[in-house]
Amino acid sequence: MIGNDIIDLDCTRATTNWRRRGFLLKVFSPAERQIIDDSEDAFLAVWRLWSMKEAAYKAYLQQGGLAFNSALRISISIKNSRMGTAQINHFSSQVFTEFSDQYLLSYTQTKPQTLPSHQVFKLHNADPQSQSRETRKKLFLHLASRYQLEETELSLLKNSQNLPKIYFNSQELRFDVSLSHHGYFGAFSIAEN
Amino acid sequence: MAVLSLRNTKQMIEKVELIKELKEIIKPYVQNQEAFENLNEDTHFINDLKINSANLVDVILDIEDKFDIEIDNDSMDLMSDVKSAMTIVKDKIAAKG
Repeated sequence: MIGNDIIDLDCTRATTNWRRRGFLLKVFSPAERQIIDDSEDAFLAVWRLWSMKEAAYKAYLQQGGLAFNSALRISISIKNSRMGTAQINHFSSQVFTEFSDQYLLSYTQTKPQTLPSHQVFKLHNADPQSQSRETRKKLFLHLASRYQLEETELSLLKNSQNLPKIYFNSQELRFDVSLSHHGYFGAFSIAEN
Repeated sequence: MAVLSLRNTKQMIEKVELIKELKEIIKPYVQNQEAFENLNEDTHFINDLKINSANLVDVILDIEDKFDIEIDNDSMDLMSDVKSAMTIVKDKIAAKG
């Protein structure tokens, strides 16, 4: 299983005021708010923790977890500048974060020794329909070249839990993927089984 | 019968009012305008309106401010579409007395 989450930093600056009254209280535990207070850059700390929660939540859903909305049900502890652990009920996962000036990407690692492969790219358009289309297209191009498959034969269908499954013709391919897009950035992560 | 239908009419007006107020709150965060224009009780905040998860927190905070209620974790988890949001708001307002 795999979960990822990308955050376009300019986009999040423009659309979410995390300093508004009550926001942090709805999303972060006292321990997590302490991490933000202790950080050098509160903005980056907020969105790092947020994307770690999102990535872990997607992996949790993939292993059969039940959907919820409240981010407080996910607890994050930080190990070092790019890795931490997320806990949701009995589910737990290591979560890595990569930072750039323009985005940050978090992704889970649930199997030791096998880091997922992933790719980050710029999107041409920030409306959700074309974001999703472009992100899928990038994933198909990657899979087509890596596994020598015909790109036009690849498709992505969401299962009953709204999780993405990749098909070649009508055959489901045996790896887990996670796709994420936000603002002008998209990303996919793949965990081979 | 007359009394009953009068009460039904009052409930219907309240329902229409509530949808209108919720629409006003949701509006700034919507990323799918077409779904917003066709908004009804079954409209899902994330799947249909494409509200991102950070803005879903804004929606919750705006609802709390607007109706002077508190939406706890459990209620937040149930709040996925317009219908569930209406039920929660109505219940929380009733609980205030």
